[in-house]
Amino acid sequence: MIRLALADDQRLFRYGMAMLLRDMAGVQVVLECANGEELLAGLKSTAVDIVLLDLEMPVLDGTETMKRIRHEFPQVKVIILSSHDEDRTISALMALGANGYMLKSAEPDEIDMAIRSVAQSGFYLNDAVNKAMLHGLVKKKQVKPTFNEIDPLSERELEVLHGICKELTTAEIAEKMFVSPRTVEFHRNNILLKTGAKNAAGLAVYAMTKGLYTP
Amino acid sequence: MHIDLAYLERLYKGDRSRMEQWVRIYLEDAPAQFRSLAECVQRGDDQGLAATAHELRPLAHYLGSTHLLELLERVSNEARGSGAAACVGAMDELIALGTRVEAELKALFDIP
Repeated sequence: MIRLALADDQRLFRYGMAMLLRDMAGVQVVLECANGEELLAGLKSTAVDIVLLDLEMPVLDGTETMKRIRHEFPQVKVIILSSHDEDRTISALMALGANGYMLKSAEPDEIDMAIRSVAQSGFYLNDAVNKAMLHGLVKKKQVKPTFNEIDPLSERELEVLHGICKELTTAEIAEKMFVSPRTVEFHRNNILLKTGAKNAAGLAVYAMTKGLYTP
Repeated sequence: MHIDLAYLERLYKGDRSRMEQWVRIYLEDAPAQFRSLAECVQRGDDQGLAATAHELRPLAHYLGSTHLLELLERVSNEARGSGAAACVGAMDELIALGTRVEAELKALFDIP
């Protein structure tokens, strides 16, 4: 049984998430808190495997709570659940020792996968985290990615690439471009073929290193 | 319609009673949240307005309200960039939309 704690000041989000988690097999919500201080107090008396932690909370916010958990409860794993999708925020929290980072808009399946992945392997890396970490490394010049020398991307492909870099979904890109999601997928596959990138994170790094996109 | 409850349906595997429980809490909490945004504008609290609008985005996602999401992003960005006073227009739109969303939810779940 995976024992979970949930820390979020927004009652509606906490309630919604707790209801989802209660349905998951092999998972039990043992602690629900509205801020970091309540969580830290609860961790002293309740055995918890994974904390789902919001960032913006009163009294003690998620970042400070993260630091204290690493110091006081190093065995507890933490998945950040936030509405912040900026690379610097994601990188900073991962650097503090978060085991995963997810947006609050994540699909239920992804939340399930993240919890099981962190319980089994100790971490969960999705596209957003990969991209943030790669951005950090590229900025620090610790990695210099190489890509295929390619035909120039078409105007439509560039539009799709920008959308991917902004972490828009296929449906959102399609809506912006007034085309179908299938057409967006077609362009995306062409870009992957042309660049040799393997996923959205690779495309984002490609776009930045080639000066096609600036975050 | 200003809402699309497809995400909420996926979240609760189509369990209508759970969706209704969530909606009832939304209807209890949402007016205070919108009031809090309006108070930030009145106080000229740029940071507070930006942060509160940003924090409400996941709820707009739960409700599948693209327009609500866009308005919250607009308020959040304008509060950061130009200050709370610049958000009066967007806030009026937001409050009006919030009222329509509440009415639609009540009608959908037959809540008086």
